[in-house]
Amino acid sequence: MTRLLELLAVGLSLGMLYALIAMGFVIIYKGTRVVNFAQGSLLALGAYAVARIAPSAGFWAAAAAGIVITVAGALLIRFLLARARGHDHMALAIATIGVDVVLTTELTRRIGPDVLSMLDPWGAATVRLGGVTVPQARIAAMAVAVVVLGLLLALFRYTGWGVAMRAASADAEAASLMGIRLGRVATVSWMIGGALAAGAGVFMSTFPSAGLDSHSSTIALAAIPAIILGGLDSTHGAIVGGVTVGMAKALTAGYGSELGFLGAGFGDVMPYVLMVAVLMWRPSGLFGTREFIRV
Amino acid sequence: MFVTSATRLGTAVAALSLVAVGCSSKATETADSSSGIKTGPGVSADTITLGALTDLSGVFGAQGKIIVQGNQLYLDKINAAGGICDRKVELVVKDHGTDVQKAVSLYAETEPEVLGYVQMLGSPITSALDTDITDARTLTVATAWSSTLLKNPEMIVMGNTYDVETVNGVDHLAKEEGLKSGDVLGHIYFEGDYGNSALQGSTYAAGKLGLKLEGIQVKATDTDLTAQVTTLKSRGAKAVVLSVGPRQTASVAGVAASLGYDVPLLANTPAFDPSLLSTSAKSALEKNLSVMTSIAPFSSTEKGPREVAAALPEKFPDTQPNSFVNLGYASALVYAEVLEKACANGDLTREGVNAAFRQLKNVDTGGLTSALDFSATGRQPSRQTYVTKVDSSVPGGLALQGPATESETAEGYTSAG
Repeated sequence: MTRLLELLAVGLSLGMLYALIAMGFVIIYKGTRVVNFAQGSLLALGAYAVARIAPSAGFWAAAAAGIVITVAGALLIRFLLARARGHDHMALAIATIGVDVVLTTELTRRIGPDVLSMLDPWGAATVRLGGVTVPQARIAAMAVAVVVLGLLLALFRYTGWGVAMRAASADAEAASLMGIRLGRVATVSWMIGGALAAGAGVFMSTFPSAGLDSHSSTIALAAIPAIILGGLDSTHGAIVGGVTVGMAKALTAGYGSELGFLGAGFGDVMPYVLMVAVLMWRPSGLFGTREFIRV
Repeated sequence: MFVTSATRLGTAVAALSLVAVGCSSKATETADSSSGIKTGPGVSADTITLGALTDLSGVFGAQGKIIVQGNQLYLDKINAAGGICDRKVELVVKDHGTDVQKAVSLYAETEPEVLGYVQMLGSPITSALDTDITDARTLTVATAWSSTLLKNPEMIVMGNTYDVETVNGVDHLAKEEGLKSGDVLGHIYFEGDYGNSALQGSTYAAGKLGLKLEGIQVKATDTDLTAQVTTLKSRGAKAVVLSVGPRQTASVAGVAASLGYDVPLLANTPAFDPSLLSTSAKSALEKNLSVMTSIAPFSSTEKGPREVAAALPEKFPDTQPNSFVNLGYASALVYAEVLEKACANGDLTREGVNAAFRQLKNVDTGGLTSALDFSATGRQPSRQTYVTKVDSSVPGGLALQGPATESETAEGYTSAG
């Protein structure tokens, strides 16, 4: 029983981090209709900046600087893509893969074989909650995720920018005709997407992970089944999808030997199995907008 | 460097390019009339050229760099003493960045100019170039320890492969850490060559010692191993073998400490890096982690490692030391022994060099590795493994626990290959 609870705690905390990453994908997609495959390298960029700045400036200043640097990186991608206006969204998405390769290669070169520590205030400390040991870093991550995701949902619902984004997402042309500046919506979306990537990158590199290494940018790929499962254009879907993927991964890895008939390492496959199962039932994901085609 | 398995695509492309490479080299043998020594590719009247295909810019860039420095330190020493066979030994270093396709084309480019390779870094790269190395007969030091490497007659493996290393390690757990028959032994391993090789060893040792093996496979991208450690704890595993990368090792040690799961951890050579000592897992690693390795740690007080420790700061003052410099130094030392033997036989062609290589039954590296016996293809050059403990107070972060030994358990073991 303790083991199940421990695995559920691992799954939930991991899931909230996937939700942060997924939210970054979804917000950029909603604002621009581009799937940003460079989200993984932005995540690593943020964590790398924190790891490099923290030894001299302390963790909190470094975290702030890391977010600023990642947002600047995201804006750079946004303006690179804007130069290629007129292309369809698929071409732009593929262009982000190119950006990802360039950025990841440079970060890999800089990180080398090292494991960079975030020097965060939580370290390897843990607390016991009802018989379950939970790392403090993960509790902090969950708290940050809940606050940030809550704020974002409120922003969508209650602010002018939120309305503009939802309008742009539903019908860009009509929104533009109604006086909504699509460029501004896109810029803000990229900024939020970059900040979310930086936050997720930092928490993905704190305990129980050892730190940032050259493989870290691949973490964002794990969030892709989460966004497809939840619905590519749904913010609620990103949260539900993220938590589902985190739980599925933790439980399958934890009960790996009982699930031995599925083969070793099935924890990595499980999110995709869930994704395919959901797509068969709801082709636009759990919360995604269904596409209607009128003849 | 030792861990990633080649992607299928990469291997396929590599295999195709190999066809082209295979045709490009025709050994040009000539007899040096003045000294009566037969020579071939890579050997001129005054120079022997060796290659190093390594990673200076990619994932394993820092390791590659320090191994090259080790190579260079030894070759400088040899050249200062007059070289080999009245020839200077020159090193041609190429950076493949752990990119299989790039490595294949760099091999094609360098192969006609060099006698062989004193360093080839990365399992995916040695796998892709395996048949080409056999065909061109370029004697190569494989900077990895997969058991499959032993099958190639042109491959120099520096010590024992991961499986034997693991058998010796598990035996050490039984003798020194009180693991006994009926106990559960956990093993977290990477998919691919490295992990599978180690798993063969732990499976064999568990069978011999009556342990119940609980294996869990992970990927290089798995960085939070809480679920895996929780499972091993609930299974009551009394010790855990780690055939993973440094980052996974740190996660396991940190999570185990946070769960109050206080058991000995045993790592293969690639699972530890001194940079882990600056992470939050430091104290857990120092308390519980031992590393099994064929290469003596930088802090060893034997003659060979002392020589390296004295030479390194003089030539490369900025290098943070670790045991990979010893690996580079020992590789060049072994290669030099081969060349000396070939010279004495009067044949510095590739065929002659291979014949000389197989005549070496007892190479003494001055304690950089245990004594190495290269007389037969498919056999472990050494069956002795060093036990080291993590210790942040010594340079390189690993302290030797005693001389390299072969366990009784390993005596009956042969690699399945």
